This record gives sequence, structure tokens and C-alpha cells, in this order.
Amino acid sequence: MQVGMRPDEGAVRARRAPRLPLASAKRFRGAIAAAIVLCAAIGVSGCGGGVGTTASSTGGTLTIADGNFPATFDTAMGLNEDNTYYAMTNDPLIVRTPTGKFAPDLALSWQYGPRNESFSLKLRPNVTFSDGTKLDAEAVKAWLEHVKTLPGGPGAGFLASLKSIDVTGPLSLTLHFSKPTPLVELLLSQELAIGQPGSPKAAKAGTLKTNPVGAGPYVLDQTETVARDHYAFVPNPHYWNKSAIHWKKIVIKVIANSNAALQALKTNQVQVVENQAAESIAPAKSAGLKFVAPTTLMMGLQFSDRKGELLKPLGDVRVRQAINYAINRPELGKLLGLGYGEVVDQMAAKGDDDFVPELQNRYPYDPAKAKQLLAEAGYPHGFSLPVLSVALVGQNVVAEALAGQLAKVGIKVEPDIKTNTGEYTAKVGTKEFPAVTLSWGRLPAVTNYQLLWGPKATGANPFKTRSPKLEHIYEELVAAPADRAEAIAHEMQRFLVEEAWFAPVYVTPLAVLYRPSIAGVNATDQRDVTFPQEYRPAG
Amino acid sequence: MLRLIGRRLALSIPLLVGVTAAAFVLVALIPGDVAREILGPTATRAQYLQLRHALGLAQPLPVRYWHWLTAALHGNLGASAFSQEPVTSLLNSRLGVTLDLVVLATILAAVVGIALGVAGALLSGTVGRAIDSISLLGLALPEFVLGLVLVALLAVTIEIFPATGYVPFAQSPAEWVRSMVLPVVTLSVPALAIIAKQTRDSMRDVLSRPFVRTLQAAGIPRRSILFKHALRNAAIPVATVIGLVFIGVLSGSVLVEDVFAIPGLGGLAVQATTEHDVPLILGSVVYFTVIVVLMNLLVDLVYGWLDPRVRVS
Repeated sequence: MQVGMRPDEGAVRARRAPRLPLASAKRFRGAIAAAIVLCAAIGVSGCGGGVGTTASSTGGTLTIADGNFPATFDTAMGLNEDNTYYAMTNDPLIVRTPTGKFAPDLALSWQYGPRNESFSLKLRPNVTFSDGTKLDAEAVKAWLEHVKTLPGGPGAGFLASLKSIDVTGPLSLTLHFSKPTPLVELLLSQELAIGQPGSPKAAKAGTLKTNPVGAGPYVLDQTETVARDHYAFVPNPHYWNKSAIHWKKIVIKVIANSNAALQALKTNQVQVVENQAAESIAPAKSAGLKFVAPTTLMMGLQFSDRKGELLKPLGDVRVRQAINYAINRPELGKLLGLGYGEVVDQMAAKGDDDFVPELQNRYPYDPAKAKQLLAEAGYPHGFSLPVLSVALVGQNVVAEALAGQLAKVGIKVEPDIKTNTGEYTAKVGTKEFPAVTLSWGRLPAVTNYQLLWGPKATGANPFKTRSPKLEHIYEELVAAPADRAEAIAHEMQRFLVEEAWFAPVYVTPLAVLYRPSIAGVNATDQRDVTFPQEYRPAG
Repeated sequence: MLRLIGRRLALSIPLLVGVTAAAFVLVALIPGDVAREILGPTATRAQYLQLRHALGLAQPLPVRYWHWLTAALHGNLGASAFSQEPVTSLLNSRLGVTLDLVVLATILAAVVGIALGVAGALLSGTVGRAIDSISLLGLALPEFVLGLVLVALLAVTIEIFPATGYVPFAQSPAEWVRSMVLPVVTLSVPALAIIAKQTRDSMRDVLSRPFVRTLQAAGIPRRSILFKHALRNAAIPVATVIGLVFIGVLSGSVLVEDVFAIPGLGGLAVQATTEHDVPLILGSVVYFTVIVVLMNLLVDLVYGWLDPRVRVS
């Protein structure tokens, strides 16, 4: 937004005024004295106050700063950037732990049917939503139907293959899919939000948007909430797991400005700050604060036009591999991660199911090799490469750095950096650009195939590139039992890297900063986001 | 006077229509829309189109504006396209905060600025030049830099004031004062520099006029000459500048609300613009326009009080 304007001065020029003595300085000194006394009184009376109080071992008020406010409290919309809020009021059916494994929460047990074409759940007994509605098999069925049919929600995509739901007992149900659907645990976990059910009664009434009703540890206190500024949560009297309630009150304060959030953390106005860029880590450390910085956001270049329809050179795998060799990833990483995060030259990071350790450094920085491959492909003098990018989370940094790096091998990158994300998003799915910079969250191979590189990918692949080999690998992966899935996912990764459909560069961290008085701020390579329900007083 | 007020208020209606129409068109020109903002880049086209339809975005622009306008003329500013919260209640929850900030900053700027301006007009030499320099420094310093420095010094290093946030007066008057000090000072410094400069120049002009010498010769006390006669005459252009400064402070509040994480109208307008939330943008435009219109009306009324000739005309 614009800087505050200055009104036109329009000062009237005056002739020099005759000298008139100022009234005695006594009055002036008196005014200053009064001001000092007033400031002192305010300072003394205000000491120790503030929005967030120190987290005590008994768990008073925890204040968390988040740059987002929730567009909706209906978790069926699957807006997982609002997961801090959802964690307060909505337990998931299955919880993903910091080790990456899935553990019971509202569901006690589950299993896949043959070829992953069905999924059976047994629910925890004696659980109710915060409005008193029973959480049973019928309620979960109603919830999943709500997810699938919500206009504009992701359920139509995520649950596209959900054919039917059979309620097999008061607390048991089976989901039937029209095709193999692995990773149902992920869908029903806190990772994608849709697995955190709300009360079907509230869903039917259409009130979940503004008033969350889940089976989570807290409820929204509307009287102490100011929309888009701060949201107050108090313990849910119906919660099934009272020992997991660590606070008398939790306030989530919306602070979009990172510096303001850091200052609030330093002064104990807040105790946790979510979703901070790498730049915030050094000042937080120097102030004696703690942090976790899981690698969260992958960055790189997508070769959208792998068939060479728009830009012929990109149709040759040697050209795409040459570009990978021409990228100096460690140098880019210094700009993007400031010492945090990791270089990657595959479409996965450490801890992902399709991460292949042997593929790390498959494309070391080697401009000579890049030039050789370009010459072999018939482009000894390079070519021009238009690249769509956006000034968001460092994508523009990638585009600009690539322009410099690829110029050394004769490739003239022409970055078109949009400042409006809506414009970028509208264009990334079109055939207007042969290459685009991308940033994407870490997800399993199956989901990435559906979102990024499958022929029907929703987020990318505008030229609908297909490969029978890749599609066969995917078909095997979705139907594979858990003990074989990782090996098949590795096969998919090898294909992507050898065919150089992408030029991944770096995986950057999103840090969570917190005061030493807080524990449970857990994020790892296996689970790259924290789960705010786990925050508790330290010691 | 009543005629003046009535005329101004009547003129504000076509002004509001014009300003909101212009804002509507400008937002429509920005690529993207609120449906895309809600769903993000990984949504399918089908999801996007479905949500666009559900939000009424598929209708032609003039139809959408007409629906908004007819509802607004009945006092209904609609609901946020992003979060479906009523626009009026969102804006009302923030109006008081911004008015607190802006009014206090303007009052502080006016009081200190006029005092510095008078002192600058009366004192020549080093003191006068020092006051001039302070005014220039206040003008040159960007608000957000000043804000950051004040936070670093007076909130983080010496913990006198809170670094962020706003406490309503009704909740705790003392905490309200504490939470207002740094943002109000931040906003008022550039404004007081302008007011000080204008006051100084106006005072010097008035003090050089023959009627002041006449009053001195007649034995009128110095204090009376200064405050009852000279300042009152010098105040007319200063009143204009204070009105303009108020508008500048109002727009400057956007940045200051961001730096101090204050839940005001400016921050809400920024959010609305980022999200392409047209009803909320238009609602913000209405509120800001009404505030400016009322401020201009107040300046006119102050003119009338200061200068009887204006009242008569």
C-alpha cells in the first residue's frame, strides 16, 4: 500500500516579524514537568501488561501471532494456511505426528482394502462436537459428503474417486473408491484441513464459515474476538481429552508485518510467531528466542513446454538437462535461504516419500557440461527463454538469478515477473509461457503427480505433457501396499530427474519463532508444519 | 451556516457515487479476483468457476456495481466476498481505532506545531533556526522509519510502551494511552513539521502588519496581541493546513497501523485490496470519503468562526 501522503504545504511567505519576547520560560518548564510525570505514571501503571502474558507452568494465556486471518472456519474448504486456527477447534480424524507417522485421534484404527480401493475406519467412542452433537459414523459420513459437495472446495478434487460411504456400525464406516486411492490417512489428517470434521448440524445450517464447531480442545470465544485482528479461544467443555488442554485461553493475533511480529515476540506480547521467512531467524536468535525452521517451500523452474510446441529447444531432454547443469544452486540457496533450507535437484526434499538420496547432486553446477549438451542438441549459441514469475516468496529472486546464471551458457532468460499473484496464477495454467518459476509445498508423490506433473495436474502442466512410463508408475503407486509404495515413488522421482521435467533449486524454510517458555513447537523433515495443539508451557 | 452544511452534505452524495464507481473500475482492472485468492493456484478450473458463480462474480461489472449501489443507498454495504462477514460491522469495529489514532495525531501535531511555529516566529537567531531544522527533519523522516526506531528504543530496549496492538479505552484507559503513544507520535511528527512551518510563516506575516504596531502603541498587553489578535489572524491558513494534514495523517495511518499491528480501517483496506474483496474495498472507500468530507466541512466551520467575513458571505 502507498506511503502516507504529505499535504501540499502551501506556506505563505512572510516578511521578518518584529521581535516579541516569549512569555516566561516558567510555564514551558512546568509543561515539561507535567509531561514527565504523566509519562512516568503511564509507564508505571502499564508495566507488565499487554495482550499476551507470560506463559506460566499452569498455562495461562498463550498468544500466537499469525500473518493470516481465516477466510472461513469451515475446514471443508481445505485452506491449510489457516491450520493454526483449525487446530484450536477441530481435531483431525487421524493425526500426523512429528515423525511423519499417522496416529489415532478421532479415529482409533483404520485399514485399506485390496488395491487401496476402500478404507475402513473405527471411531473413538464418547466424543462430541462442541455443540453437543455426537461424533459417530453417521456424522463423519455427513461431514465427508459436505466436503465433497461444498461449492469451490477441494473435496471435489481430493474425493473425486469417493464412490460411496457405508456406515457399518455406530462407530465404524467404510469409504469405497472408484479407483485406487492411497494416502487416505493424509486426507483425513490435519495436513489438508478437510480431515478435521466440523459438526454436520452446523455444516447443514451454513454457520461453520464464521463459527467453528469441531471436536477440538478449544472453542472460539466470539465476545473476545475481533475479526481479522485477534481470535480468542477458550477450553471446550465437551473435549474428550482434557489432559491435552494446556491453556486457559489462546489468542491468535493477526500481525501481517514480520517486524511487528518479531517485536511483539521480543516483548512477550506474543509467545509464538508462525510462518516467518528465513530473514527473521537471525534477529530472533540474537534476542535469545528459539525457532524451528523446517524446510517447507520448494522452489524451482518448471519446463511447461516439454514437447517443444512453443519453444522448440525445450522439447529436447538434453536442453533441459543443460539448464539444470547451468544452475548454481548453492549460490541461489544463499540468496533464498540465508543459511537455512537445502539445495535440491529433485522434486522432493529429505523426509518426503519420494526423496532419493542418491539423486542429490545429480546436476552439479557445470557450465561446460551445459554448453556441451546444448551444442549436441543443436543450440551451441543458446536461445531465448521467456519465464513467467511472480514477486512472491522469492520466486522473482529465482527468475532474476537464473537470468544471470544461464546467460553464461548462452541462454537469455526473459523473466516476466508479475507483482499481482492473481495475474500469475491465471497465467501459470496457460500455454503462454514455455517455462515458469514455481513454489510448492511438500506433499507425497501421489499428490504431487495429481497437482503438478500428471496429465490432469490442477496446478501446473498446461501443455498436458504425458508419458506412458510415468503414468504406469503412478498406476502402480496408487495401488501399492504401504511396504512397496516408497520404492515405486523413488522410481517416479528418477524419471522426473532424468527427463528433467523441472529444474528444482532449493527448499526454503518457513520458521516458527517462540519464547523459551513454550514447548511442543515441533516440525521436522517428516512433518514440516507445527501442530499448535501441541504447544504447552515448557518445564 | 446551516445552508453551508446542507449544501456540503448534499454534494457528498454524487461525490461518493463517483469515487466508489472509480474504485470499482480500478479494482476490476487488476488481474485476478477474490475467488482465485480464496482457492489459491492449485484449485481446478471447475472449482474456480464454481466459486466465482457462488460469489456472484460471473455477472457483468455494471450489474454488480448497480446491485452494490442500490443496496448501499439503503444503508447495506453488503458482505465481504472473502469471508462473508458484513462489511458494515467489519468497518465499524475498526473505525473508532483509526479515528482515535488520526484525531489524536492531528491534535498533537496541531498543538505542538502551532507552539513551535509561534516560537519560531518570535525567536530569531539560533533558537529560531533550530526550530526550523527540527521541522525539516520531521518532514524528511519517513513515518515507517520513525515508527520502527521508536519501537526499537521505547518498546523493545526500554520497555515503556507496547510494541504492537491496541487496547480499547473501555477495557483499560491507562493501557489505551500506552498503546496509542508510539503510533500517535509516529503519525504526528511529519504533520507537526508542516503545521509549524505554516504557523511560523503566517505569524511572521501577521506580526509585520501595521495593525499590530497600532495595538502595541495603544498599550495592549503583549500576550493579548499575540494570542487574541495575531494568532487568530494567522490561524486561517493554518486551519486549511490542519485540514490537509488530517487527510495526510489518515492515509499515513495505513502504514502506521501495519507497523504497530493496530486493527484500524487502513489495515482493513489493505487486506481488502490484496484479496480483491470488492464489497469491502467499496465500503472502505465510502468510510474514508465520508471522513474527508466531514473534515472539510469542519474546516469550513472553523473558518467561519475565525473570520466573520466568511460567516457573512
